[in-house]
Amino acid sequence: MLTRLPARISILWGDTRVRMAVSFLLILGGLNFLYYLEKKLALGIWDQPYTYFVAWLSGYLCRIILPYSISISGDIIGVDGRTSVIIQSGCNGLEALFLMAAGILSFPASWHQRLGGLVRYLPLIFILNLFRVVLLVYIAHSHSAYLNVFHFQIAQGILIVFVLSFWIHYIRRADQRL
Amino acid sequence: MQISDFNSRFLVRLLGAFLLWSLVGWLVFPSYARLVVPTTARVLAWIQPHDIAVELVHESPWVSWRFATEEHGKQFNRRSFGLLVYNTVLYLSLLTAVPRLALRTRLHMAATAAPAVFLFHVVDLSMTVESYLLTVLQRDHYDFLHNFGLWFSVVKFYNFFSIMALKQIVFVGLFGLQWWWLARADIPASAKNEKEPS
Repeated sequence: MLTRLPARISILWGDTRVRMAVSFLLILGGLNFLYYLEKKLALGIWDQPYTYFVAWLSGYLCRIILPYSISISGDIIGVDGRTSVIIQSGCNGLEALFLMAAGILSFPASWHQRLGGLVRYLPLIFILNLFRVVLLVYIAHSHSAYLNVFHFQIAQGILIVFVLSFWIHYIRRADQRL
Repeated sequence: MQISDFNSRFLVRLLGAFLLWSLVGWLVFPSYARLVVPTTARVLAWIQPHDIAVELVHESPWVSWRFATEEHGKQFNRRSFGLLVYNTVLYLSLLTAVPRLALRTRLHMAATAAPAVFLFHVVDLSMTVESYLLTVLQRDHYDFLHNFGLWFSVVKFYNFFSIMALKQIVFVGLFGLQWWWLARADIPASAKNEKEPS
């Protein structure tokens, strides 16, 4: 039985879908592990600058869209001096970017297509996340009773819905050109 | 059908289903918590992690846990139950939005996924509690370089990975598996609507 194991693994590895699933998990796990390590070692080269950048941009967007007085300090967006929204991991949109990147890179397409996919979809997700933060700031300030359901339920999933849809769009395009 | 045409239709269907199921989830999750939280509490009582009795309760919309030790006194933490189980909404949205599946097939897929969904939530909540226990009891392991703890690191990374990716992908993966199984299985043509998933 054990002697057949390498052959079985080889057959399994020959299946594109298996290879894709394994590659996806490895890339996703690797990206998250690097991010986790950077956070825990407090290197300050990735998490903090990126989160501050997202907070600054979404704060700037809040100033344009929302009829409130907005202040930005580090990863905190203040609204009318009485509501504060802190941008952290999970709010900065990196989880969605990682998912998209892993989805694109693991799909068997040419490197040109993969690079094109990254260039096309990652900025889109980044921008969508800024609007997600603006929506959360608005709800936190004006409809705080609904913050729990919006923050922990809808805002968590909405970006994943877009990632999934973009990924299907990408693989259908890439698959046609293969 | 053009790709962009298909995709925009799919996105609209997916978004619509997501909003609908989010609303249903908002109404149903408190009842679902009455199933998940006591089961997890029983699991924790049986395992007795670190020989500590953890009290796990659902105080909508939170699930809270309390324990006490001589060294650390009374400890308390909580997590939004919605955050723990929102991925169910993702699975149901996908199941609803995918075109060309008979209702019977969708119901069958939902029914076969239910035990896996429930099991994942129980394990995930248990690991969340364990992560907090480790935060209190083995704080010195946060110094990875000088005081590395394997179990501590595994649980902490699991907890991080669960929030960042696992919660989202586990049910999409489950749906993918069911889809693959459906394409392979010899299901009578009448059970499918128009054509097999490809």
